[in-house]
Amino acid sequence: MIIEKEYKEAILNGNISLAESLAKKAIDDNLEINLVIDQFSEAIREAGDLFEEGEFFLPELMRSAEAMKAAMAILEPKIMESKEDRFLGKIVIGTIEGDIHDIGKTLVAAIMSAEGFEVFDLGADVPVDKFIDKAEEVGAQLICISALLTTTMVGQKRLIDNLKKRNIRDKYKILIGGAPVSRKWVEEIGADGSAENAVSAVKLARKLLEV
Amino acid sequence: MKSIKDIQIELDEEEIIRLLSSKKGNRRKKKKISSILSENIREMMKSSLELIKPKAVYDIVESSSLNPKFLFKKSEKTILAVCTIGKDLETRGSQFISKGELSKGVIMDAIASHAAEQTAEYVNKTIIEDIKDEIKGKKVTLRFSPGYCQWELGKGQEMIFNLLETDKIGVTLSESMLMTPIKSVSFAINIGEEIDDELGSRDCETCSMVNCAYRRTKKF
Repeated sequence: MIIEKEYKEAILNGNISLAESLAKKAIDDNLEINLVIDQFSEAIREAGDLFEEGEFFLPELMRSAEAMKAAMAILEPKIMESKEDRFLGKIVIGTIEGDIHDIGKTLVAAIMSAEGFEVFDLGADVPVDKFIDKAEEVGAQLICISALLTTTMVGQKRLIDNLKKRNIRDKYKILIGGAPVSRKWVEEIGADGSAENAVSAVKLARKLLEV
Repeated sequence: MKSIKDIQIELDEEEIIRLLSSKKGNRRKKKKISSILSENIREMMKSSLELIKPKAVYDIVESSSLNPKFLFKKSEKTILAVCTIGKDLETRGSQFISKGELSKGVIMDAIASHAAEQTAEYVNKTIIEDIKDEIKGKKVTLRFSPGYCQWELGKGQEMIFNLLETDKIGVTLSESMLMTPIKSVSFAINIGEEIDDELGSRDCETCSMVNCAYRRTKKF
């Protein structure tokens, strides 16, 4: 279908105005919104795959995420009306206290959001208990905690320790990220995983949450 | 302690593209980059030049006074340096990100990371050139930084920042050993007749920080 091709083109080319006009047209034409979102979602997944395969560069993937966000901003009020929960799950994400590296986790948040997760981004320099309190408040399934320094990585362990202390470790899947994070560290602190980039983080999140 | 202010750096588009590629993308021999993206990167490189304000301080000390011993024991003299590109480019990148312009934000961030590394490279070369007569016949390592090469981040940063007046170039160290501005580099270079001249490159091969942006391969 021509329309399907256009959805794909809008996202893969990072064409924000086309994505917006397609979303508006879908509402005006009274199209089934869930099917429209499925089309956009398929395209953003393709953008992610292209990045992982080395066909896309990071700014292109981000531009796709920007186009997706623009389309979703128009479609979301319509989804709210239908009261149907379309989100894949709720994610709390942030960079640990003492660390102000913001970009890596922002990219993960953008791709998670583009793929259909409801994302609560706490920003950078976030105390461990704030992650837990927010996750409890919104009923999240996944907590993503980033640390770019070997000195702040210990906060990732503290998060898991505090969850255990509060007897709620099993309520959440924990993904940890950041340049110094190794597989050994994931195992040592008992996290559920780590990924090398935003796209693989989303794939891992879907796998862990089985969505 | 000495300062270097007139730092001339050049930005290499290919290196910026490398920083913007996925790991698999970097393994591929020939990568296609769209003309639009290439043009965006070039434009942003151009506009970033006036925001890059490189500065550095350094000192050359007796290696025997430094710890940990395994890093400095065979060395005679060690250069310790801190350099930065300043705060302006980092601020511009953050502004893009907070406005939701992620594509521009990641390009700006890659330019800033590359500019910081180019500054470190310039400072490294300039110092070695300045002291070339004094170090004739001796071997020189690549630069290596706290947090890498088994050098504990906290201890290494504290040592360097205690010895250098980094406030002269506006670089501060947080409690978690993070430098501000973020796009700053602290490093050491060992000099001596019997130094381990593979220091700074060999350990990357076996290091577990596989996602490290500064992972050095043998080509360095």
